[in-house]
Amino acid sequence: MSTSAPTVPAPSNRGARAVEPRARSEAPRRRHALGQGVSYLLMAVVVLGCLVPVALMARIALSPPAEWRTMPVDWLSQPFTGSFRAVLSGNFPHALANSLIIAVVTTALVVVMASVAGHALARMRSRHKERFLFFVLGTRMGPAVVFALPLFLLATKLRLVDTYVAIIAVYTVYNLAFAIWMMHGFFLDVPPEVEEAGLVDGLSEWGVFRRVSLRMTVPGVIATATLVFILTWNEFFYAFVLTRQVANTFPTTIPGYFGAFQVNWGEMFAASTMGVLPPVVFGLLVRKWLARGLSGGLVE
Amino acid sequence: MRTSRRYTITALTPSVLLFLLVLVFPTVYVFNLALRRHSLTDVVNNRYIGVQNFVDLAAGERFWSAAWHSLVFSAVSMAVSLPVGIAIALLIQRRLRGTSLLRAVLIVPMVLSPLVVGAVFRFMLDSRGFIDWLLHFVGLGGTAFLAQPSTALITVALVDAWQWTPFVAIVVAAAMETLPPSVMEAAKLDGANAWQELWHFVLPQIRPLLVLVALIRFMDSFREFDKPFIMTNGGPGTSSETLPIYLYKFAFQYYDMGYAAAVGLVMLVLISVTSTFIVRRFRASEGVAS
Repeated sequence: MSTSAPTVPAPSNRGARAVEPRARSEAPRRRHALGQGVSYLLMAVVVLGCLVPVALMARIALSPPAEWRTMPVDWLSQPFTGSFRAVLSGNFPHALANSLIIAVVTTALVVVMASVAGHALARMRSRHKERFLFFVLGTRMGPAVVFALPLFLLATKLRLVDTYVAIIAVYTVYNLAFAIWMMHGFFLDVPPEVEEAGLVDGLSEWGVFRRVSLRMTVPGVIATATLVFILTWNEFFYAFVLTRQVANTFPTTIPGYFGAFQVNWGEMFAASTMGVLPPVVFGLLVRKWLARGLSGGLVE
Repeated sequence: MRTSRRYTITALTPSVLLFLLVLVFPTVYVFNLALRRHSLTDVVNNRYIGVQNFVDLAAGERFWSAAWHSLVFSAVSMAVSLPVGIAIALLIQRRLRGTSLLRAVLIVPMVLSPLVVGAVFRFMLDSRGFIDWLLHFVGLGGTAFLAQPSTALITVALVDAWQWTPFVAIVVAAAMETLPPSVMEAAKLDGANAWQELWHFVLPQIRPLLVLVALIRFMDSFREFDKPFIMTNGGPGTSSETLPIYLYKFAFQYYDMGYAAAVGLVMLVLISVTSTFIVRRFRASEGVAS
């Protein structure tokens, strides 16, 4: 797949019209059609490659145990709801609710702090600004496994293991860095003249921030919030280390379905299906900003 | 708007305080920890032991093998996701019908929990599972990819590539859109020259961004924990044990926090050195968002 795409002889319609004369010989046209055919084939392969694993997850979640290992998969057989019912009657709803609470609180904290800090940085004229931004960026490089050691020891000492406070504090910092980068970028797009006008109208600096700048960056705030939500929702390692049964989030329930001798694929995929739905929906809503957010605000 | 010093300080204080509390303190603590014998099970013998943890680590074969596995993991994940991602970006650039569907679908792998991705592929890769069936269907033989020491690590790395290839594709496609149309025309030429044009003409134009994407892919794959954990947990034996898994086992299964912290510091050094190398070598900073 990787090697064939660029060599496919398929000039796009748009480009071909601009460059080539109207009358074309038979040969290039045939090649053109062939190239388009290959392109469409590749597109189909990519689409299926992305979707089949997800579809398979949902299909197994809706299949009785006897059909889990049957290949080829019968995509249209009668749905079996036993796995979903078992998962919903267990501890999973508690974990799902935790995920929601923790993600929402983290998102709110991060968005407020990142908006305020991002605005101040966007208006700052100081050599410290670059330094601060790159320090913030550096926080993204550190692997969770490394920071988890001291955080776990600290949380143990403060008796904060398995509390909302600990996990929310960690997630807030974990997301703050890229959120500041993103909001900083959005505030740079607000024309300074508009803010000046606000000052002339008698608003304080905070007033300008709240009533002028923030209102002009509402799409940016929404994009940032959604990304923080997705990343927090999906995070596994910190939750695995810092929570037990009280503040545990949905990903931490997944390893529990892998028994020593057998895996309860149906229930595990039922839990997974419910767990991945919110990020998929939100991800599609903010897809324009997704790549930028996932790169830690690095990529424009 | 020129903001006052007071405004700047007030606005930045909460974030800075939180960074200090939850980030700088732990980093300092890791250094301290790495120089101690700090076991959670055998507390009486905990004490400063200097660089002994690092000596142990350098002498341990299992550590070097984990470090090697991590590099292989990142290399495979990058070697697949970058070229395939660029190829998909070129496909997006053709603007055929259905491209918006393609773009939407590419979002899906990225927003899935990496742990769930690992679980789904573990199911698909089982012997006589979906991938096995698919390979037989197209006339190739399958095998128990995750159960064999020779294939387990590379298989997990390929799953990592599956999740992040769309990221490369979307970012590169966005960068290509900012290029003048004439540049992209070159990549659409028929015949044998297309590769050369792409390599010598199109890709150099977006080089800073490509380097940045490579950097992000390196950092993310190097610290990837979820997929190796759920798919093989380092097995069979230690054949797919990467540094994050190795560190996790020492810290949270053997409770040897001091040694694990030393491993963590080595990881940080490896990430910094490799990142600096990538940035210096290719001057990635040109591509950093304003």
